[in-house]
Amino acid sequence: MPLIPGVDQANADYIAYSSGILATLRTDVDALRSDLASSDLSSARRDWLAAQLDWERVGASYDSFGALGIAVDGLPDGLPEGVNDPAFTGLHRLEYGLWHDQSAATLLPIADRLVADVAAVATHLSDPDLAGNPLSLTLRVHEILEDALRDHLSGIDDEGAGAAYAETSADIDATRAVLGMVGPLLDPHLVADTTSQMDELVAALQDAKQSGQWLAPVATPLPTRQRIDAALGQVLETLAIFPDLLKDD
Amino acid sequence: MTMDRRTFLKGAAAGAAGVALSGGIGGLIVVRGEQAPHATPSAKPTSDSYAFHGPNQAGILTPAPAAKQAAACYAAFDVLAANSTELADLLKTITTRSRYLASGVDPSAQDYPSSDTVMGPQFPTDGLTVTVSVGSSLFDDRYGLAGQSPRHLTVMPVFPDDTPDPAWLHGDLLLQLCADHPDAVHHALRDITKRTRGGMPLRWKIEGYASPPRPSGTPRNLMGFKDGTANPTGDEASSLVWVNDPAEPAWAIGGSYQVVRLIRMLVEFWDRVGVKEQENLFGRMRDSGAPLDGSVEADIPNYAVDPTGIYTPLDAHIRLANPRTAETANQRILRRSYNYDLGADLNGNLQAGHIFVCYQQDVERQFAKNQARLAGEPLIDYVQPFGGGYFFVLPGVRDDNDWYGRQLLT
Ligand code: HEM
Repeated sequence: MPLIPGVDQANADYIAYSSGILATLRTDVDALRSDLASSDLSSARRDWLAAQLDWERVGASYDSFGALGIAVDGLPDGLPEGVNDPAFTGLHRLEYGLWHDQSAATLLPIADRLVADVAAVATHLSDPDLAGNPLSLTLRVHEILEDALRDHLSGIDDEGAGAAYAETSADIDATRAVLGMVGPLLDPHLVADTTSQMDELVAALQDAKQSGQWLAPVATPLPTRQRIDAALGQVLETLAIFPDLLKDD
Repeated sequence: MTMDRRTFLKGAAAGAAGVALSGGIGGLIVVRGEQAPHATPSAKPTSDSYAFHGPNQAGILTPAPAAKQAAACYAAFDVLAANSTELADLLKTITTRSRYLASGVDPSAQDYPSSDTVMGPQFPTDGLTVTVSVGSSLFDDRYGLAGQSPRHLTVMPVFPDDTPDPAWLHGDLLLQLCADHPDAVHHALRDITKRTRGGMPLRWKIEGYASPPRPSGTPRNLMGFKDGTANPTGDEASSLVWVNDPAEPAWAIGGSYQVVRLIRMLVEFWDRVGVKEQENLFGRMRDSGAPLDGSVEADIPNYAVDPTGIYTPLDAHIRLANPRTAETANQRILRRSYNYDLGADLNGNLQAGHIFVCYQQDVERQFAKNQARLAGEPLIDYVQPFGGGYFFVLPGVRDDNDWYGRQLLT
């Protein structure tokens, strides 16, 4: 599939960007691991959120980092034993344990494994299965936020933390970053419209905070939730045309 | 629960004939076996109807998927009968009501008027078929059926791309009700449940609808693609669907393995994806339904001359589901699916999708092989299987004296 000139460079920029975020993620996952090693569960919950939001900012939407990405961010869905399945590992597994009274000792080996799995993503970042193929950048532009709609705002990937809105906010950061890379290749009016629709979404999300903390969608009053869903839906309709514009058929 | 189980069909257990049960009083169900007429009231269809008696149940090949009724309901129940006698009574009641509802009778000429007037005082058959199937849980230790299970009937496993929701899964007994209009489906469900309330509480239910051809050919699913094109038909369909393996328990011959998969479609996302990408996911043209190497819907894809997937991607849905090789020929399934529309999801999206239903002689040899090949298919980004189950369609009711599951329970 031929792409318009400049997408290759944009993808190189994306790899540089995501490798920077992965470095932060590694630091936060190390911190999470130490919290568990010292049985400090409340710090572990805080550091889990930081790590989860780092991962969102990487922009590995729609399992676009293949099996290595799933090891970091996979869900229990599809596993015979669900949340109790030994193959359920990674950030959401830790979320499940941290919000379901599991002990630090239970979770420590999972954190150890996560440290290794994040390192593997960093090592293989430029492989075609992960971020190496520029074609996947053209999809990333809209799929990061499609992921927010499908997995976060639907409640599907909430393993207890109720962090859907925080995650969506981090997804906006990632989308803005990607837009910064491909935007210069496209019509400036389109990019400006998209940016202002994302601003609208950011504003809508602010209303879902209580004492500085985001509510879970189920606990959010309907009018607030509707404004968020509407703003996200609107920006997704706009972003949907980007992949075609970046292709050169 | 325990109490329900004990009080269930108190009368029925005592009643000798127990052919039919009437409405309950104060939670107890009273048998009116004595007064039950033995002959089916004279059939007087006021609309389409499909033969109720036969070696196989209706609602699978009669009418065939290509001519299936426009409205459907899948209602799964848990059985609370205390013992196998009560279970038999329950099945007899379902038989009596189904025979009556599906055959068409003049209400004044029989003893069991319909309990509701949703379809007016003289309800037409409206093309109703009732298809009764049972889940593997019925073959546990409750009814002494442990050794009698169809050989390949299991609890539907969790497949790799599933997002299972326990509220929408499994069941001891499933009713598939299909008719020309939704009110007839609703009416049938109400009529049957009224007479079986103490014995089989509802577990989950979902209504489906079939679209008309748009503009012609096979009807489209809610992703806008013609769905059902490559279904087997005629004798070939019969030879793939009805259980005839002598290794199966004798009672099961003439039955069929039924797989129900409730599959949400992420329709908003789907509508934000380009047509070309959609066509590559399915392996067919969206407008015409033609395979990607053909020009009209009826064209047969030729994968042998396209080994690298130049025309039809190797991971296209139709290519994975049916590679069209000699080895996979007996793995084909009969699909008879419906669309569904529910309410809104938490994220404000439409809750809509596909009640995927398929029939086969051997769920392992057929559906499970298809499903395994489809694991991880690119289409999975746009759909989420969340419910359903594996069921076994009982053999047909032969005549006026026969009832669903008679050979299993006697
Ligand atoms: C939401 C889920 C699904 C959708 C939207 C869908 C849609 C379609 C469409 C549009 C076709 C092409 C037209 C046709 O021949 O009918 C098709 C074919 C087919 N599908 Fe599916 N399907 C779904 C799930 C499944 C599942 C779960 C299975 C079985 C495990 C399956 C098995 C088949 C088979 C066997 C064919 C015919 C292939 C051939 O013989 O060429 N489908 N499906």
